Amino acid sequence: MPDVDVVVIGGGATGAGVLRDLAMRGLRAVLVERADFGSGTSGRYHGLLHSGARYVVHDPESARDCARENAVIRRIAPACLELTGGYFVATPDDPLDYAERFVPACAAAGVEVDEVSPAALLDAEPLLNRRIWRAFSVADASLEPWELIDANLASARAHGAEAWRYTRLTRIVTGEDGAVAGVELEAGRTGERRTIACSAVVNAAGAWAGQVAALAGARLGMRPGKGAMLVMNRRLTSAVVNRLAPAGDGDILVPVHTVSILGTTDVEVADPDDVRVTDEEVRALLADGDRLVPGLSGSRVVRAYAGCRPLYDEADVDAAHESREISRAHHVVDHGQRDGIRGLWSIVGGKLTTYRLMAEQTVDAVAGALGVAAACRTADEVLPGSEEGRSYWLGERLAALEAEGGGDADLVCECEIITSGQLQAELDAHPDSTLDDLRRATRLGMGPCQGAFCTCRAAALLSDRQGMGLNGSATPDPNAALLAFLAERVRGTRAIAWGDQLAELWLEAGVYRGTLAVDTIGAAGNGSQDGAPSHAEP
Amino acid sequence: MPSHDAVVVGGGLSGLTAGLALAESGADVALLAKGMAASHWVHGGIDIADSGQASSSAAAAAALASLPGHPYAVLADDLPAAVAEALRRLADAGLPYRGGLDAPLEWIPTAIGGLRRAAILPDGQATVLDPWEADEGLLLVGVERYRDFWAGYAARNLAAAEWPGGPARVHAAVVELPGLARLRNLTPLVIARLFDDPVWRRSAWPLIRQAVPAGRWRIGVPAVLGLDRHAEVLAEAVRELGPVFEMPSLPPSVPGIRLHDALRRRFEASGGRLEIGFGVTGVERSAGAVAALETAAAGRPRRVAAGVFVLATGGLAGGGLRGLPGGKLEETVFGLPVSSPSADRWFSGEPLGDGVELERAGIRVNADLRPLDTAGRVVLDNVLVVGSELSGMRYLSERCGDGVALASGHRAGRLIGVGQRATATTTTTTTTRRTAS
Amino acid sequence: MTFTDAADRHYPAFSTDACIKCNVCNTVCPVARVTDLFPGPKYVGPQAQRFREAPRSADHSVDLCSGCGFCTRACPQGVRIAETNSRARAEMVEERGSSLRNRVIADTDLLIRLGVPFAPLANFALRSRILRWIGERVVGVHRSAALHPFARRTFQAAVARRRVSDDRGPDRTLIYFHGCAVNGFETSLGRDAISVLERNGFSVIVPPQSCCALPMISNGLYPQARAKARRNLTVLGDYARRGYRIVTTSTSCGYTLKAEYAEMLDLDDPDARAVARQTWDICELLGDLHERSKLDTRLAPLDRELPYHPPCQLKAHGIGTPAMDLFALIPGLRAWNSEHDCCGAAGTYGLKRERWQIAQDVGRGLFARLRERPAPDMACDSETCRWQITASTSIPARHPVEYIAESYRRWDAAHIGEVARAEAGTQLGAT
Repeated sequence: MPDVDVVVIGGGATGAGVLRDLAMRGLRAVLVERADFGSGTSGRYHGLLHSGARYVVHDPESARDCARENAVIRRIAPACLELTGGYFVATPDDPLDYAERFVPACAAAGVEVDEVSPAALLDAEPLLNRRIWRAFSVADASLEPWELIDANLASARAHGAEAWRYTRLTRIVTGEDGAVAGVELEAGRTGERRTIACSAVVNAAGAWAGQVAALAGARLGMRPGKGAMLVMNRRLTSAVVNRLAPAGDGDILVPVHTVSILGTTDVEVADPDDVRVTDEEVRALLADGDRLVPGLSGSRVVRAYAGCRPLYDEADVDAAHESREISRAHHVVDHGQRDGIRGLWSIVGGKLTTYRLMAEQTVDAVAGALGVAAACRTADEVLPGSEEGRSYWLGERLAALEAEGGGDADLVCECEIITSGQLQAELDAHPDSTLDDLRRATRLGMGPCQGAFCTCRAAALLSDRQGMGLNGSATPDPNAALLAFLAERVRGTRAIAWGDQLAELWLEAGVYRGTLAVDTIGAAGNGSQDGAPSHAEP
Repeated sequence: MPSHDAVVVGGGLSGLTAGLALAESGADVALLAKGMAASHWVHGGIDIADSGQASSSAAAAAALASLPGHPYAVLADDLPAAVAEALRRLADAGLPYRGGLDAPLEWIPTAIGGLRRAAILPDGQATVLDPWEADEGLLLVGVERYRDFWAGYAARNLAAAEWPGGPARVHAAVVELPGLARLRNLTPLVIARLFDDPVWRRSAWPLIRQAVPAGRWRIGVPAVLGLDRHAEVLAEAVRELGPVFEMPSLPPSVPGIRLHDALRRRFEASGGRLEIGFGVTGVERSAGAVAALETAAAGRPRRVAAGVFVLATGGLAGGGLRGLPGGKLEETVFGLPVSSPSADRWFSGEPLGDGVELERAGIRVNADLRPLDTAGRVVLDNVLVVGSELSGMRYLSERCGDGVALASGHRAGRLIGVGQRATATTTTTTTTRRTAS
Repeated sequence: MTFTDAADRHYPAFSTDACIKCNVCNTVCPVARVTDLFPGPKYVGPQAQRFREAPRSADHSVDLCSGCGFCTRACPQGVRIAETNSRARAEMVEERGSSLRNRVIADTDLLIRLGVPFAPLANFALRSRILRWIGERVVGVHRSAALHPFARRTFQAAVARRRVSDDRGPDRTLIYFHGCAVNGFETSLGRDAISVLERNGFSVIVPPQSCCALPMISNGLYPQARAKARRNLTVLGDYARRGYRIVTTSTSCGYTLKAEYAEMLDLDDPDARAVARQTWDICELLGDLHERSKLDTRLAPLDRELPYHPPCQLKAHGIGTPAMDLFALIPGLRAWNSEHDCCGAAGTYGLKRERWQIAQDVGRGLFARLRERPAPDMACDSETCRWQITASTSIPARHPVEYIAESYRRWDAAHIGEVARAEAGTQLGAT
């Protein structure tokens, strides 16, 4: 008797969606994630809920999927969305004929677009290039990935599943018949090992799916496509803006909470953990960003980051093509058929917008093989937290704070308006959180100061909880957490270290070194555990 | 169109020091600053130099003076007089400091429980320099709801730290001070102003005293012991609590503001003119020298002429240097050549550690503090560069920023002296304007 | 408003990009110092700005900003904090509307039009405790707020029959923008200003004019303010473009003409640019004459102490304290600077029932200092500050140029018969 029916590898949106779907169909399932949920590609994208229009010309299949799933997510997860709307705009640098292909392709793919006059566009988005000569509005939205993942996991847990973060898969155990028998796991914080017996494994490790498959002895050719993005200090537009052109660098600007994200480059990398942003990428993004919003390159950039697209190397795709030309449509790989490893499925490709559909199709295959006939209900049942059907808006946190009287005495993070109460609640729920985990849960340290003011406050909070015995052994060492978070925040500013962000860094250095002597606090002063996930971004 | 003997650009420690030296010598000097300086951010002590090994600031500074290109190589002779003068001015202004160049560098605790070395501290912090008696403990007292002093965290770190000659034990307590429970805004200044009020603080002392356990303790508190009446508050605190010292934390820094206010008041009392809030937007040049500056006054630029100009704009944090995309740096007032390590070495080690080569960037000067180009030629005859804008030091790693500010400000004052008022130059002038950045 | 450059730091909301959270603004804010209701310039400025998205305002505490501008000038990074706040308030007013009280006290032209014809009655009402009490309950203007009695006749009416042409050209002719204070309340200041300027050889034209619109700007009533500003620009713009200088005796009006038409109201046309460039505060202009040795310095002694308070609006000009430089030219006059940041009045801020106490607390230090070193009266360049100081300390307050005028008058009285005036007119001043 296996411990569970299915083990899901990977705590991104897809894995969380798979776990939820499995659980809702009555399968006993557990998800393991080597770091924090949403710390891989799902948490390192531009935050866009695609309308599908981006793909209508080159990848109509993806476009259709996106359009359908866009509507589904609006229904089941409104609380994870800001309904910004979006535009496709033609700048003077864009091809004259693209619109002629774009409009019919949208119609064919079922993607709704409406042409708007450039004047109306500029009225709504005054910072956009005044030489934009054609524009279409689309159903883009801003999608908060960590909320979405959390909601999926909460739903899965409500249906009896479990999800463990900081748990590394070390081996997929197969029986003599070549079928999956279980997994060997290692807890990242304690090094504790355990084996889970299971009937099936779903490899939802995205860009890392090749590494996971290898643990079962299967070869899965992934071609991780690094996409770099820049975080602009303030919102430059209130709607998503896409270039009306074939996909290229710096062709999209997405309002995400208080910032705008300018994306993205596409560079094939050998290792999906290699997400360093190069100077060339920054230059390319800024140059293209200026075409959308003149002066963008002179506006403050607070951070550069990159994620890896989970692109799959299909034999029928010419290897010489740029990875953007590879279909983003997803694939469910049955390793039983393909490699003789029964009970192992990999789900690769796809995009965050289609996470649910990918999960549905994967679970259809798994459930079928396990003889479970229950139908997928993930598109019908609203996710936890979204019951009221309300989406968030930019001023929400400020309005809530003002309703309480305003003032920042109780704020830990001033830039993103996060109170100590919110952090305490998060730590009550997840006592093992590092500061970077708290960041994903609350946006801690994601504003202009990039942790300069909140890092020591949050570390002290960890230390005080430990001092009060609130967390037991799970709490990361506060000093290690502080140093890791500072380092991680600072590293993200390397590629854009100029202007105000460099001045900010200098202020931060002056305070942490000059006044606080941060270089002298021992990394193990308050405990003995590692405070940082091992793959903290370079 | 005002015309002065000298104009100082920048109102931090170096600018005020240069301005004071000039004003006290009878020169007509104006100080222009685009805003408040980094003094509002820093700990308020005076760091001259620390190599980690040297026994005193003087010894550490002497070691730095032997490094080629280090500002101390030029300024070493000015350092003793500059420090003495600064301490005299501060004492005269009612903000006495303890220690000096030859005083031993002592380990002092920080608000997160780190340790740094210091030898010159304002009286409000100086008690921490006293040797720790065998039975003496350190008690850190935090203030409930004040978010930037972490008594518990610091105490846990300090208890575990290797602290040579440190206290016998470390404890933490948090006290609830009157009237703070419902404040929406609780900066250290708010608390400092409450301490300025004799009635309020009479109710505060017993609450703090209650938090002191039995035994012998020296008490570390947030740096909030009064602003305008700090000396009075401090004296009372010692009477009420015994040995007590302030521990600075995140900006805004009350000790830094006290330091700034003291120097600024003295500067104005000495006849110096101070104008804060208007950046330099244009420079009028005349035959290898600067004839006048334009400031961003309302409506139209304002021209301020002088015989000599002191650049005290404070490096990357202060805004005297600005990074540009592509790993370039610009000097923001005169466009002087910037000496900098190549961009690929800016951050070669830990981002907030010793590996930040970018610290060395700045303006290279000769012994007369005149700015030099890469070939070593003087760029502008009547411009002197002081403070953190100077190249070749690592003011964080070497903890030498304040000493360089004082010594270079002092030297600038000495070099300029009196009577440098420009004779009206009627040669062709060119004005370059900067767009607001 | 159209933008051509998202990085244009002159535009207040874009300037917030430069904020490095250093807290310097919070250390200089006179309002946050005295009331916990105002969360401080960093919170309502660059921080809140990131959460604002017109037309839906998330916050209300920005309305407590008095607009003194200390934060903007203290900011080492060049964030235009007070200006950002002003615009945020205007967006709030646009969304939620404005109280009748605010619309009334911001419309000084209307108040003068109603008050001056009935000055005896209106002034009685201003002095009547019971009527002021009613005014507080009904209108929301604090019963102790500093309200200056109305003049019996407007300054415009008083100078209506003056005929001054501009044919001496821009070097010798000045355009006097007297503002509401002189027009409806302190007409003698207007007369003194003209006499001092004429004494220095200028012809002084007093064109028809409206309120500069600052009270409307600071109450967030931008559309109304724009209408006033446009009317003024039509008249002043023509002179300014031809090189005539506009002189003001209110540092508030002067700052509005110099800066706020463009920065707050987005009026960026040739008229607005010319007016901004050509506007001079009267002390700035006299100080400039002196720098160029063109000022008539035949000033009789005034043997006395003179406390002087530089108003916030003067500090925003970035011209130093020219009044102090001028006082130094008057023999025997021992002027001293209050060294205090703000009197609390902030235009109409201190009039409001719910703000009056805050304004008093802001000015408390200044009032105490003025009482410590008593003097028969004191000087200040801005009218609402003068009125606030007088109402709070009972010390009469006058504009600096009134002391210059008095000194000139005394000199004249002592030198009757000397042929000074005509000569001065040709040799001094106008260039």
